[in-house]
Amino acid sequence: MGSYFARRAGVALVQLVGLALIAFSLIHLVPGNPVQEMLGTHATPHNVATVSARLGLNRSLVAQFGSFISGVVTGHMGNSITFGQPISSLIAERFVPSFVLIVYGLALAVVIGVPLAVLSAVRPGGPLDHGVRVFATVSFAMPTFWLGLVLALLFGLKLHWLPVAGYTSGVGGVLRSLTLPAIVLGLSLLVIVVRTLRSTMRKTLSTEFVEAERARGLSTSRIVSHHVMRNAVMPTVTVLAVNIGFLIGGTVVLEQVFQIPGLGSLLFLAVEHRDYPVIETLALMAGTVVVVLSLVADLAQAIMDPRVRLGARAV
Amino acid sequence: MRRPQVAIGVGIVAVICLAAFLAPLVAPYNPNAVTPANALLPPSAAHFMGTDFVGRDVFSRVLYGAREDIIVVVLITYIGLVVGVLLGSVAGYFGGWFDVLIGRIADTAIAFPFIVLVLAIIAIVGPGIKGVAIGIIAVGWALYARLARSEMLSLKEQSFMLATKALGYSNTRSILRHALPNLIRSSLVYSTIDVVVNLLVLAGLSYLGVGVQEPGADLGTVIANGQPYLLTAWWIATMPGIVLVLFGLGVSLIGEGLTEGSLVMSVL
Repeated sequence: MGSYFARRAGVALVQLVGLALIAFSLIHLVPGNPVQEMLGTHATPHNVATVSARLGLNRSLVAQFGSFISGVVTGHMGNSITFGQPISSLIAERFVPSFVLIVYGLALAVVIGVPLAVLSAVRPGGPLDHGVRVFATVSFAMPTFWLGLVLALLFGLKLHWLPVAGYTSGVGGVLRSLTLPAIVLGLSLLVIVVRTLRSTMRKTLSTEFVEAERARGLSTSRIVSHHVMRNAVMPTVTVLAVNIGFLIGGTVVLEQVFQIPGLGSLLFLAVEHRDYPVIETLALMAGTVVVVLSLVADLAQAIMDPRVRLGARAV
Repeated sequence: MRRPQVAIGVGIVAVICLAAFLAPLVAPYNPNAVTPANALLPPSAAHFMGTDFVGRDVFSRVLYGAREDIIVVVLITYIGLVVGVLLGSVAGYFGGWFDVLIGRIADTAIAFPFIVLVLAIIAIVGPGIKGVAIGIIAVGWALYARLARSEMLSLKEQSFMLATKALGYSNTRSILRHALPNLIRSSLVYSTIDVVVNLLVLAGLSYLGVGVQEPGADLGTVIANGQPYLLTAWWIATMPGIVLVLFGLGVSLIGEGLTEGSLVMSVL
């Protein structure tokens, strides 16, 4: 158990370092002079040089990377160019709406998706199964921002059931202001959840031990709840963890559509103003979340499924 | 036909693509023709999708927008595919440090939330198609590389590949002429999904204002133009979306029809 943990954590560490390198070197690798872009076409070479010096861009790459890493570790990422305030406080301010949105969307996807998947798996080829598959194909093709707009139009502007912009805290406020974007976010996740869960459940349902249980007279619901679900849960959790990156991306767009003051819209503002310190930090944060969650999901799976941690020796 | 999906899918995609490519011939109006007198007209016989806030015909804008979007996206996707498949198959064939290196880079590229990376690149390169293209290719290749690599790993051991070694064929010949044609099938199937995803990403970025820039018409920008008028002129924002959904639907149907069993889907 320990060796699997160590190996897996080691992989995650390597990934994190790689992420940090990428987040840091984006500025230097991509064509174009970032300071030039930032200052615009009227900037004189003198201006460019001054700002570059102020941002520390004229130091050696190693020195810059060094201060980047120490900044990450200590939590002092410097100040935002646009807002002037420390990046860490900016992030702290805007963290909650994004976090709540993601959790809300996840919750919707799971609460609706799991029952749908179970029902589909138990009756493959049935009307529900087909309906779910058609629904999955259609919603996959829908652009998130467009769906958000359509929902906002229907439920917000036409029916006046829910507000279409802004964020209000507190349970009631969250439920009101974040429901529409959470539905959009959850929808794309829902498709993934239903697909994965259903296919793993189908696989388990057709194994011999399930057949044996049926022969022994166990009811379908018992079989499902006691055996099938356990096998199906882990792959689904893993898939969810891996798709977090995609969820984060969806948040960026949806926060713009619904004007939510979260990290997504912060990223967008930073991009508009070429606020590189903020962009670097947010990019690194996002990547880290994905790596950490994948690690957690893999470890959880290792704990629950001995085949994973024993690897080749198991079979 | 056993699987009507492929036929329907091909049909939908063909209609949209034809209409889009032939936009200069098919579009009833100049997509950039500003006629303030005709602003915000609802869909009618003269204007299938109505007009926008400066009187531009939405249908024409959608046609030209689709044209630009589809061409750009197909290009970007297949450049990514070629780069990725080449790198992945070489990595799988030779193994060793090259394989590990490519694998690590690919995994890191995939770990990054896609849109975040593309936005970061746009921040440096400046808004416009160039930034979007670089961003999408920077991540896109990794998925094909992984696919190609795993296919190559299983292909390597098959008799026809072992035969090429026995016959003394050069590695280049073995990979390019013998392995690749077999490898590439799963990548091509996956590319159908990828085209849809990339199209949605491009439209999304254009909607946000950092993709295709004015005066270029693009499905995303038309939707963005329509947002302030959602209540009064809902057609501006909704019509391009419907086209996007239909296109995506068509392509997914083709992909699903070719997959016959979610083998490729599981790699996602």
